[in-house]
Amino acid sequence: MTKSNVFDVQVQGAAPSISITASTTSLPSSGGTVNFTGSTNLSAGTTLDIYVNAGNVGTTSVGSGGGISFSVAIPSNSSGSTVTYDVYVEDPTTGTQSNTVAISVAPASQSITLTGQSATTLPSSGGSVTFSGTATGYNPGQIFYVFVNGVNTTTTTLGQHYTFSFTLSFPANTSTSLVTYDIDVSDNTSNT
Amino acid sequence: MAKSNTLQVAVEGTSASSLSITGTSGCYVIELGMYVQFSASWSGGVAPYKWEWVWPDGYNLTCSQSSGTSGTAANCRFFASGTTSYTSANFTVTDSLGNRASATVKVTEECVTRISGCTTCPS
Repeated sequence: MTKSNVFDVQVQGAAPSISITASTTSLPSSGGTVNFTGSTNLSAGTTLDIYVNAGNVGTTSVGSGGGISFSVAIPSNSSGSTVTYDVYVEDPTTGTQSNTVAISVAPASQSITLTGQSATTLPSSGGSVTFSGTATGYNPGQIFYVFVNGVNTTTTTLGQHYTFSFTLSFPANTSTSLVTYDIDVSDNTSNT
Repeated sequence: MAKSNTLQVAVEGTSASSLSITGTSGCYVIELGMYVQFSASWSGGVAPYKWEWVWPDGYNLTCSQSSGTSGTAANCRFFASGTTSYTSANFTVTDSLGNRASATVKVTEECVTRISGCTTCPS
């Protein structure tokens, strides 16, 4: 009997793939937790890294049937614009990445709050008082107008952390009666 | 348009104690064309103050300063045009609230209320 030589035939496995979907892709300005599910042909027990806006926020493991399940906490949005978070998972061994799911967080409603002041009462000689506040629904750099007894007196600018502060000088009181000043802030040159 | 809550700042009123004269003095040099000098001090009231010296006949003395925030040393010099019978002057101080206080300073040869160092008046 004569027998030929032997050829080996290799059948490659399917290319690794990962697919995920989110329970919701739109959140209110308060943010919240988004649940993700998905599937992969990677081996059960494979650890996948979870990325939000390209930052590693944790891991999840591939289930026995190739299933994937994890949750991501999306922070609240204080700005006046929609904020989007891109979420995906990656197998660090093969570098295989899932599709990217964009989660959008709605802008906050506009609100301005004066939260503190360095003094509530000044001596008759007058003096300076520093006020602080927070605002939502605006973007950093927003100009606010400061009113003293209803008169537009100065401006203050919203900072990166959605806070602002300003200092006012109050004149000496030469009367024998208490003089009271009302201070408020508006996003408009008119506070009526 | 959004508007913040309102915060308040209160500036205390001045606790105005009553305005009163706390001291006066006067001296002169007995010569023709004599110099007469007065000074007074007071307390209370609310700055700034205005003050004046007046001879009894109503002639206002010319003072180097007639207003300020101090409660002391309201000095006044007077160059008499000759020997006079002026023997006293009235001092009145008024604070920013309109409160007034007055005192009379006698300047006589016999009863000059001599204060140490005030035996002669500056020229």
